[in-house]
Amino acid sequence: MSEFGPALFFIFIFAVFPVVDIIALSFGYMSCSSLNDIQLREAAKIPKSLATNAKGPVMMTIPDKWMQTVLGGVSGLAEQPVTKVDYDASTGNMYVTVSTTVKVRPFLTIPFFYKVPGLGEPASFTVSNSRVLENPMYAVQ
Amino acid sequence: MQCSKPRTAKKRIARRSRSGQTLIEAMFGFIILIPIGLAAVDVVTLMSATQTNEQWAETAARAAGSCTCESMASNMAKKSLTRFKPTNIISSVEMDKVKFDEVNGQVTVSTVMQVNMPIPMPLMNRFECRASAIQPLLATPAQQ
Repeated sequence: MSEFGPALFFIFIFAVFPVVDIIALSFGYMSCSSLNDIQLREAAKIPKSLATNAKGPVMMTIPDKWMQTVLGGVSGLAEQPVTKVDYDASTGNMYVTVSTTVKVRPFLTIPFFYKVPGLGEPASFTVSNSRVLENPMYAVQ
Repeated sequence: MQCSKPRTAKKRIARRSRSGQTLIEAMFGFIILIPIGLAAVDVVTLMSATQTNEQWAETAARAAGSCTCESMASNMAKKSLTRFKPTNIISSVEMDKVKFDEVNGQVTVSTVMQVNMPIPMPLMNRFECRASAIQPLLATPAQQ
């Protein structure tokens, strides 16, 4: 029975807590992907001047509203999502690409995994996706 | 005194066999659990790749939907798939077929994706995923 305490300590610190953190990290990635999808849908149907505006719907309004939802709140963002909008006409159609970068805090900060993203410090990841612009003229408006 | 020696030996054998039993159980447990865990990684990869293939099919169909004829639609769908960047897991996404239906005003594009498993297993190291998407024809002139 003397090994029961250390065994529990090792199981929780090196198995249970990291798994909980990885599940929370996956949830954070999924919610970031969901935010990127909403932003992309909006960017595909509005003019470039509006989509690339730092105070416009794609770069500010949608991330702000998303952070107030359950999905945005539970994902534990360390800071405001950073959005980048690009346009590309190299393959015939006009494509809009939205890249969303988020920084997610670990659900449980484990001291032994100092400097390990997702376990001991916030993890940063970027979700990027493209879509055909609904009106190609929006790329120059 | 003569009888005590065999009894001690029997006890020792019994204790040894019990501890060995635990080790063997643990080993067989790992032999079953580790392949299940590795197969789970493959299944998640396959599901993610299938989802990606659906998105590429949607993109290709949307590109084809803004064309006025089948050959142009096929060309545009192929061009849209050139935006895909191959990875170690997904080696290629190619157009399979295009159905340009002017009567119903829609285009159907099918894509084929080659997926390499991150943990290759016998007979399951490479998969071919197919997806198709339907989009309305946007370039068809309205009926007078």
